[in-house]
Amino acid sequence: MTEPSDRCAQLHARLRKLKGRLATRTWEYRQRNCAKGVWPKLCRVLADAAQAYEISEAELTELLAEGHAVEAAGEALHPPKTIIFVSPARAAALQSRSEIPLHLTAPLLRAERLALVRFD
Amino acid sequence: MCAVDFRAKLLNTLRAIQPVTDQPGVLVVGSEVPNLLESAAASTLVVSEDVDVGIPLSCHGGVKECLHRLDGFHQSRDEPSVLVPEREDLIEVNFLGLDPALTDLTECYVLEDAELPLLVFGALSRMRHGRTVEIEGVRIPLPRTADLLLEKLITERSGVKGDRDLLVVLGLLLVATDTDLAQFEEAYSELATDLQHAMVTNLTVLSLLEPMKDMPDPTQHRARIARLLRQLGAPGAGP
Repeated sequence: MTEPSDRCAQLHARLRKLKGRLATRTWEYRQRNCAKGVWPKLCRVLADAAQAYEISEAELTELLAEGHAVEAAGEALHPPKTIIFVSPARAAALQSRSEIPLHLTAPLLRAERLALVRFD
Repeated sequence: MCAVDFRAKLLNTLRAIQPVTDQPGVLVVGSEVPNLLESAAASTLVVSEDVDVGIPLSCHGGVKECLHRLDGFHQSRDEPSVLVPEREDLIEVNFLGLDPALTDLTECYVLEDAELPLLVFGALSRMRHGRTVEIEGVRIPLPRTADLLLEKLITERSGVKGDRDLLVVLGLLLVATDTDLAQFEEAYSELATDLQHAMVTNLTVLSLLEPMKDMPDPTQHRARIARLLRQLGAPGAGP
């Protein structure tokens, strides 16, 4: 006759793994206002963007002079990114724009100056 | 494996375990649900070859009695909460425990039992019956879409399976009605702030995923996700 605790060994192993992942999430949540908390903040900003463009230093300077606000999540990365939201019309007028797919992959992570267009 | 084959296996399995799913409160949960909610249960999403069945603790005894009457399966020796198929036209059945008394959605424990031990998930504790669909004579009790969305978004997952599970969330969002989404927003508003944070983070990750073969394409539905994020509001912000 197999003892219940033996029969449950695999379930207990799964439970330990699950609790480990939950502990990690709890730790990540506690870090939300620390340096590591930048990732969920960056994702939250990018999730609002319908398009993302890498732009030149000169056009970024123009946009900043026009009063476009800088998203804090980008500045908290190293190297820092300057991320700003612009209107679709303003984005269309940017001569240096180069569209980047909105995935957390190399092109987006490498870009230092991002102009985003918000979903309607 | 083509989708038609898998659909047939899924329905064969649900037909075979009908005595279990006919028990009051038992729900078919997990990644198969979007497949079942597709038109005529088309089952086009790629998922693992098993079906999850939520067992409320109140009917644990009733389910155990049913196990003896099921044909085509035997309990896994290593993990008795899993029924292993003995025929190629069936898939695995994975029993999970539902304990409505759990108020902490992150709590989980093992229900020790000599015959049918269960891993009980707090994230499943709020699952309520939504509707019973009938496909080719098989009655399939399903939870509310809102509850499934919530469970998928607060259950901690990682790696490729984590990404795939988020695409299952997208599959659910694509079939969700306005009522489902209203219930989802209500459920979100009742969560602790840390769980709201986890849900929002998972939705943003979903929005940034690259397409995966034979799964809903997140790049085509980013606007829908952005709209949902706006409706949910920031974690801790209140309704």
